[in-house]
Amino acid sequence: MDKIDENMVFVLNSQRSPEDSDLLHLEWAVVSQLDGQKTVQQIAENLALNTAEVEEIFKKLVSAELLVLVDRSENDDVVPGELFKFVSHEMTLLLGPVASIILEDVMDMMRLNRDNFDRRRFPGLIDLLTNQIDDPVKQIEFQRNIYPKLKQYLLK
Amino acid sequence: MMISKYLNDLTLLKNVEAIAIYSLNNDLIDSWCDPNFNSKVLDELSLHYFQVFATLDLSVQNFQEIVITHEKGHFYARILPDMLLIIVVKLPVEISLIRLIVNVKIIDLLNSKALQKGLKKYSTENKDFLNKNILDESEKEYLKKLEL
Repeated sequence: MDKIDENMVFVLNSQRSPEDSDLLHLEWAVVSQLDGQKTVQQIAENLALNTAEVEEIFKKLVSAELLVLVDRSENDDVVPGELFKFVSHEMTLLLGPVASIILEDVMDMMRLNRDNFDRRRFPGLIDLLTNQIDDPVKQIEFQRNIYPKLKQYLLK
Repeated sequence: MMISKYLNDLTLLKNVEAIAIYSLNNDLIDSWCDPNFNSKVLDELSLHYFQVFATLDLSVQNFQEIVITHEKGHFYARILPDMLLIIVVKLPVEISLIRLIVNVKIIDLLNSKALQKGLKKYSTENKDFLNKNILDESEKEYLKKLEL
């Protein structure tokens, strides 16, 4: 692999154990972050690594055949805009006008926006939005209200 | 049957391998497994989760959910009134999707007559579900400190 793209996602190669390789502390830290969902960029940010460091570490792990690139081509469905409108509406019913601001803040925190929101990350957004609602009864009410509409996108 | 009826959406997820419901005395009430999954693993998992939840309870940490991540997936456990729910999933799957479905669907299951009937079969009077017989010395010592 010539270049490590910041949007690539890796998982550990189940045929090889990292324990058999002589990994440095930071390399172990990267390995511990791999979950088949986080991108290279997100891992770099989580570990406060610069571009050169993260590229060097991933190249070493890939060349040692410890990592497998996740094929995201079939999962690249982007969440439709109407779903954000719907979620924002349901949030507003519970939290008032501040709901749309909270939605944007949470998406910022996830480093995603409405144009590139991967369907697989959407439950994570719902999780974070639910945590913004203080009342546990309303938390469940929110999730129960939005679930029937979300289901068709999430259970693909 | 209960899982297929009330948690059907979970069984439809291709990466969900097994789901089980246990009474607080570690009796299996219902389970669903992918044909490729070894169901014997579930009993052992539930026992470990009971130990962990009971220990957390002793240390007054009100954990309702524990997710253990391993290189191929996650073990998700939720302690509920009178029962333990265990879900085994393989990667790639968002654990927040599992949590969302459980949150939305569990109420109907908890209120179902089928579950109430299933729970009645097993005594749930013993709320102290920690099995002290399988603890080693250091674990016993740790618990002793918690109880002080």
